[in-house]
Amino acid sequence: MHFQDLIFTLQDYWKKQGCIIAQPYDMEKGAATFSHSTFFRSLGKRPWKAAYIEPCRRPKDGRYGENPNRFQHYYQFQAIMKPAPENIQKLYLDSLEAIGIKIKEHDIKFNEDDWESPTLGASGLGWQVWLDGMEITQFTFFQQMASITLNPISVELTYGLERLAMYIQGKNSAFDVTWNETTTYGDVFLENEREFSAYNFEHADTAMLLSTLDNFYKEGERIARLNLPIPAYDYVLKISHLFNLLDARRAISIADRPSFIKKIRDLAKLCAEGYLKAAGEANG
Amino acid sequence: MADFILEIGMEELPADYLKPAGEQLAADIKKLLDEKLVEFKGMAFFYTVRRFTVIIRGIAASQKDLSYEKKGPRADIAFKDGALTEVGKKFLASNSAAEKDIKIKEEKGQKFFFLDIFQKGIHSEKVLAEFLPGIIQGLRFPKSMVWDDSLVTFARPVRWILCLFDGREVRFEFGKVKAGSETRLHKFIHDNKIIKIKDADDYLSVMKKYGIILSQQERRDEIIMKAGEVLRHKKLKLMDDGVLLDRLAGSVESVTATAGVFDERFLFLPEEVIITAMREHQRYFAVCGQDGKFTNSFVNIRDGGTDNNDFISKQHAKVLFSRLKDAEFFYQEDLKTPLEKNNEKLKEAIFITGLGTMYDKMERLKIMASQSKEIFGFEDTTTLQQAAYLSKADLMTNMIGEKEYVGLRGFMGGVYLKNQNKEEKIWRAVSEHYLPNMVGDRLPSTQEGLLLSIIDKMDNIVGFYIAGFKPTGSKDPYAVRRQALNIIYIVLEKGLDVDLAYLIYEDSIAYKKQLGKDTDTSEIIEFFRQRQINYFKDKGFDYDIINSVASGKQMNMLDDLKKAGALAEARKTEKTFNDFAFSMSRIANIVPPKHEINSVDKELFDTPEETGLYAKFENEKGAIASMLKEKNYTGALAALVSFKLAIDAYFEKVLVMDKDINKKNNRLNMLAEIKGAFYAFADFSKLVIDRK
Repeated sequence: MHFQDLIFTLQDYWKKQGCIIAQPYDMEKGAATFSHSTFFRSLGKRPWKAAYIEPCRRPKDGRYGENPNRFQHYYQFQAIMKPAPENIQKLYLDSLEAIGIKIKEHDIKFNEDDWESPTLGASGLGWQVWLDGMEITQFTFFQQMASITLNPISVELTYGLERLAMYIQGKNSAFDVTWNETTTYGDVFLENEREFSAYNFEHADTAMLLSTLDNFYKEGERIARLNLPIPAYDYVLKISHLFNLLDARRAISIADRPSFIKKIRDLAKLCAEGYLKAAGEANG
Repeated sequence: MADFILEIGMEELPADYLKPAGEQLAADIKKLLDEKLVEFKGMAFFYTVRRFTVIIRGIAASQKDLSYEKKGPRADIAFKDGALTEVGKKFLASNSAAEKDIKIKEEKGQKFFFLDIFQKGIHSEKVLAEFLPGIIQGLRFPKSMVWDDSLVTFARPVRWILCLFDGREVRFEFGKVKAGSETRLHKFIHDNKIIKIKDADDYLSVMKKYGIILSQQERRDEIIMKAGEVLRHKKLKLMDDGVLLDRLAGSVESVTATAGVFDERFLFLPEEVIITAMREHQRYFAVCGQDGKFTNSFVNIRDGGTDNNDFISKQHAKVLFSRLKDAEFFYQEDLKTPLEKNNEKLKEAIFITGLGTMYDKMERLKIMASQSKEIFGFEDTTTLQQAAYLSKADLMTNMIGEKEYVGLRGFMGGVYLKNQNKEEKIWRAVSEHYLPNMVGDRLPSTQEGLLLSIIDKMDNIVGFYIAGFKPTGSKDPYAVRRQALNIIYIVLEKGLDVDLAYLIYEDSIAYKKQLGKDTDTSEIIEFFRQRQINYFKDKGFDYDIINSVASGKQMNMLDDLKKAGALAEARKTEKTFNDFAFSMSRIANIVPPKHEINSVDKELFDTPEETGLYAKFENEKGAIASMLKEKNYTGALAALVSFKLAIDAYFEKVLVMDKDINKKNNRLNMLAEIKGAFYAFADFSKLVIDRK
C-alpha cells in the first residue's frame, strides 16, 4: 500500500463512519490537536465527527534527513468524534483491518497513556496503541481543552502515518516509503528536511522571532478581546510555532519555559471562552 | 443458599491500578453485606486488564430478620391528659406502630415508651442492586475519567456489567451501562464476542474454555512457563523481574510469549541501559544464559494468539534496534567529553522554583562535604567533595537528558567517571548516591556514597521547606517524607553517628549564604522527629520510650535507638523500672521551670538522706557522664537506676519546699543539677508509669 493509498483508505474508512473529511488548517502546528477541527470542535455541546490529515511541525525533531524515523515535518491522520461512540475501540481496530493489518496476526497492545498538552491546557486519558512493539496511534478521551472541563467527551485517534507506512511497506526508513509507483517520501521531503533542519537549528533569527512572538501575543490578546476568537486563535498557532522554533535554537532557558507556555495557554483559553460565548454556550 | 457474581467489564486499565481497586471492590462488597446482615460463606475476587470479578458463594437469599426493642420518648412527655401528644404520635408514626403496640418500661426511675420492632429482611438481590452502583463509583484510582454524558467516572470506560444472583439478573445501572447476564470474550482471539452467562460456575467455565485467565497469580505463572518454553531450546532463561512480571500479567488476559534477539554489537553498552530500553520502554524481559550472563535475547508477552509469532518477534527486534541505536548514540557522544564539562550546563537547569540552579545545589553539596569531618566525623573530606562536585553532571549528558533514561541518573555518572579512570571511591559514590529508593532498598556500598546520599537528600528537604513545598496531609508531591525516611534508614541501618539537627542547621546556613533564603529549622527537626517516631514504632518500641528518647535539640538517631533499646530492655527485666521512672519524674516535676540554678551549698544540708544522695551523685556523675560520652547506654541506665533507693529515701525524709528560703533554693539547685545530668540520657518525664 503506497503512502497516498494509506491516506485514501483511512479517509474512506472514516467517511463511512459518518466523519466529514476535513482538510488541514493552513498554518504551522505541532499536532493535529491544534487544528480547528479538534481544538474548537471539542468544546461545547454540538456533536462533531471529522477525520483529516494534518501536516505537523516540530522543529526540534529535525535530523537533517539523516534519521530514518525523526523529522521536523510529518503527517498525522486524525479522527475526532464527539460524543465518543460506545464501540470506538472496535471502530479503531476495524480501521487497522481496513489498511491491511489483520488484528489476529499481530501483537496489539493498548498501553495506558495520560495525554497532556500544557500549551493548549488540554488533557485526556487513553492509550498508546502498539503494533508489534511500535507505537502507531494515540487514543485519547479528552477531559479538558483550553483548561475547560469537557462534556460531552470527544475521543481523538491520532495515527502516525509515516510509521504506519514504513510498517506496512516493510521499510526501515520513512524516506524509502513509496508515495505512489514512481515517487518516494524521500523524493518529496528529504531536501525539505535538510533545509528546515539547518534553518531551525542554525539560522533562525532568534531576536526577530522573540520580538515577533511578543507582537503576535499582543495582537492575539487584542483580537480575542474583540470577540473574534477564531482569528485570535491564529495567533495561538503562530506563537506556539515561534516558541517551538526558539526552543530548537535553544534560545529559551529552562527557567523561562513555563512563562512562555503559560502565555500560549492563557491565550488559547481566551479563544475557547470566546468561541463558546459565540456559540451561546458560555462556561461550556 | 445461592451464588452471586459481579463482573465489571471495561476498556484496558493501567496494570498498576488493578490490584488496589480489585481489593477495594471485594472489601466494599463484604462490608456492605456485613452491615446489611446478608450472610455468605465465601468470597473470591479476580482482576484482569479488562475486568473486575467478584464471586460470592453461599449467599443468603435475604437479609437476616431483625427483632429488637426500640426505646422512645419519656412516657410523661409522649402521653398527657389521657392522650398521645405530638411527640408520642410522631414516634409511633415513624415506626409504623399503633397505640396498642406501646409498652411502658421503667429505666432509672423514669418511664419510657418502648416498641417491639420486627424487621423482615429484604431480598439480598435488592440490597446489592441498590448499593452496587455507589460501590463501583466509589472505587479509587490514581486518575479517573469521564467518557459519556452520564458523567460517571472510572479509570477507563466501563462497557458492560454482568451481575447474577442465583442465576437471575440483578438489575441496576452504572452510568449508561445496564447490568445483565452477558460477558464479553477475549478482545482479539474471540473478537470481544458477547456471550450469555447462567451463573458463577458457568462464568468460570466459560472463561476457562475461552482461554481468559482470571487470576493474576496464574497469569504470572503462565508467563514464566511460556517464556521458559520459548527459551529452553536456546538454553536461556528470564532474568528475574518481579515488577515487570506483575505489570505484564496485569496487561493481558491470556499469555503468548515470543522471543527475539537484538544485534550483538549493542552488548558493549552498560547492561542497565539495555535493560532500561527493553523493560521501561518496550516491556521486554531481559534474558540470560544458564550461567546468569546477560545476552542479546529478549522475551515479549503478547495477549494471546498463536499466528505469526516469528514475524512479530522480528518487528519487535526492529523497534528495539532503533531504541538501542539511540542509546548507543547518546552513550558514544557522552564519552567524548569528560563528565565534569557538563557542570557548566547545570547553571541552566532549575533546581526548585525560586531556589537557583542545579549548579547552586552542587555547590552546596560540596560545602556540606567539606564539613563532613565536623558533621559525620568523616576524615576524607577531599574525596567526598570531589564526588559531590561530580554528582549532578550526568543530568546534563545526552543519556540522562533524554527523559527515557532518567532512571539511570547517578548510575550513568558513575559509568562515565569510571571510564575516565576516576578513583573508585568517587565513581561509586556518584553512582549510588540516589540510593535507597525506599526503606528496605539497596544502600550505597561505600561510606562516601552513604554520606553523599544523606547530604543530597537533606539538601532537597531543606530546600523544599524554604521554597514552601513542605508536605501537608496527604499531599507530598516532592516525596519529602520518603526522602526523610530514607535518611533515617541509612543512619540506623549503617549505624552512622551523626547529629541530623546539626546537618539541617548547616544546610540552612549554606542556603542563606548562597541565596539569602532560609527557614525555621526547628520545623524541619520536628518533621524528622515525627518520621523518627513512626520509624521506631515500626521497630516495635513503646511509644512512651520513643517519646522520651526522640527529644532534645540534638538529633542523633543512632543514640536514640540505643537508648530506646536500653530502656526497653530495662522495662522488660527490671521489676523496679516503674519506680525508677517515677523517681525520675519526681526530680523533674518539683523544680519549677523558672528556677534559677545556682551551685549547691553542702553546708545547708541538714538530713543524712540529703547528704547521702548528693554524695552518691558527686561520686558517680563523672562515671555517668563518661558512659554517656562513650555511648554505653546500658551502663549509664544501670547507674541511674541505682539511684532509685537514695531518691526515694530523699523524698521520704526531706521537705524540699522548706520554709527557709535558702534551704529550699539549695535543695532545688541540687535536684536541678541531678536532673540535668540524668536527663542527658532521655526525657524520663515522657515515660508512662504503669501503676497497676
